[in-house]
Amino acid sequence: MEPAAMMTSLDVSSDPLKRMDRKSEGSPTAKKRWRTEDEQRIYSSKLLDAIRLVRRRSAAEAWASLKSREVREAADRVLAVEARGRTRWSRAILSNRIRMRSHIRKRRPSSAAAIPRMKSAPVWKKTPPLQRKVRMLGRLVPGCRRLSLPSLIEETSDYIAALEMQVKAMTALSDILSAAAAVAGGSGGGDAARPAQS
Amino acid sequence: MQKVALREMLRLQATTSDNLSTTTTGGGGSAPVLERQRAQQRWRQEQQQEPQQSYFNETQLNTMETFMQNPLSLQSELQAFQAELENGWPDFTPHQMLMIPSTHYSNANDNGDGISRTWSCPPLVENLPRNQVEEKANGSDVIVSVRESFKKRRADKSLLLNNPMAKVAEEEDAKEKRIKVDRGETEQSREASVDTSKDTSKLSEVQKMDYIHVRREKISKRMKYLQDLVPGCDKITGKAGMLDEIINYVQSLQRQVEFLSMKLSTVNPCLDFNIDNFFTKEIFSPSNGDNLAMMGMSSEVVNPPPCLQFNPMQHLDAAACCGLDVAINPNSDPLWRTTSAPASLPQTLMDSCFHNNDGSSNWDAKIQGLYNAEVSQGRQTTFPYQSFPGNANANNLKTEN
Repeated sequence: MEPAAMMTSLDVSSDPLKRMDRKSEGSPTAKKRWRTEDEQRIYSSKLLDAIRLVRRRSAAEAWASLKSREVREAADRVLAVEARGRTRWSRAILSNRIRMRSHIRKRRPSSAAAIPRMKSAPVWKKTPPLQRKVRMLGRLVPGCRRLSLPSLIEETSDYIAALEMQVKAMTALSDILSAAAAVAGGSGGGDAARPAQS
Repeated sequence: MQKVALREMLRLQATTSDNLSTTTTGGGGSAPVLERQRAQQRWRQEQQQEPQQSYFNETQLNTMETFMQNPLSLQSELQAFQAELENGWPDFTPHQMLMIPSTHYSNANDNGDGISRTWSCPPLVENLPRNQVEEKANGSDVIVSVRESFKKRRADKSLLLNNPMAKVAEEEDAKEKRIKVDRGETEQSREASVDTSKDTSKLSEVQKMDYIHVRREKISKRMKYLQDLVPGCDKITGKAGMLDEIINYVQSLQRQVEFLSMKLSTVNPCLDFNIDNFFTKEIFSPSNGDNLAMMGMSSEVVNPPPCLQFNPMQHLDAAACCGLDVAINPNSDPLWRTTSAPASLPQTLMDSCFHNNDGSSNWDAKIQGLYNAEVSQGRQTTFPYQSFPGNANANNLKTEN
């Protein structure tokens, strides 16, 4: 499935791929980066594929139910791919995923390693609150822990826009799928009830 | 950063030689090279405060040149010097530091005579800068102090040589400073560097302030952009409040994504748009029990499916309408009885959604796009897309957007 193929089937004015390429990374003027509908559409379709894949994979291994974590990671990965690696957080997501996979396969990582160590109370109070917040924001945005404020703000703005698009797309997707499931279930299960309703 | 510093030096002296940079920065000789050179530059800076400034600049430039043109002797000298540094640092007086290179030079270098003369002549530096003496205990702190003095020296040098590269040097200084701040270096070194930078002449200070102003402007510009992005940030001014809001917003977005992913994971196996399997219950029964329960409950189309009730999003209305209209819409009835019904189910959904959801146009376009994608991938066997009247509406909506 190629974005180009999808584009040709639609009545769009400009090629979104070209639009994406023209945008500069994270600059304040690139406001349309995550806001266009085409991008959201691309993301939804790719997400659908990814979820299908994850579902198939989990079904193959065991009849375990699909964990939300896997779906979330798939969603983040698709989002990062759509960023085309031009931002730090997207690269971090993709590289983390590869790293996590290899770790999980080789050994069980200790949970203590994942927890970031907190500074002791007196040391923590001495760092200025602004610096503390910068650190906290750096921890929230993947791959931006030790970043200076201006670049961190750049990454954050792009990340927020991407997250918003992700939320929108996932909401719509889940609504469609659940409604379709409802309809399918209704139609498959209760054909008798339908004439009564309509 | 070491390479950058070295390059700066070479550029300033206008004797750039690529071989030198590669040889001097290669292997284990890089660290001692830098320390050596920085120590030299520190002495130079100290000596600049003395009357014989220009003389020493030139001579020391020459020494640096000759010094660097002889990498072999450089290596040996530097290793010896580094050993001296690490071992005997507390015992060093400036005099000793000055004397040692002279001895090394005379031994190892043909040009050593002139150099040793040069080194031994200058008046002794009375006192090391305070920060260096205090931080001599730790090896890394030594390097920190050397770096501080290196920055000072570069500030002076830029002033003295009136170099066009000075601005770059200043930027490097400020960048180094910033990087160190981010690494959480000691307050002491920071204050020391600030104090010493105040001592420098106005020219370099002005350049530094320009850079700081530029940096602050960048930050404020980006903060303003973020303000537009984050809802409800118009009233808040100041970095701290803005950062708080931003952090909260990012956290809430991430939480939403988690919630949505959980919902998506439980929603359904109808991701498989395989038409043949669509009506078979075998697909649904092995899946989650709650899924079945959901679908059983959702046979009542009037109530929105239970999963949707948890949805705090505004699209709840849209989805509910979708569910409702699919049942109520008379167009869809004949379709449902055919075997190709599942193929057109999404279509009917789309139609109904389009009719009812003029507000969330983005979502509608997205749905259309989603199913267009499906079409183009050839997953649907029968998809009378063009024949649907609703499609025209859809296209109109899209073009309106």
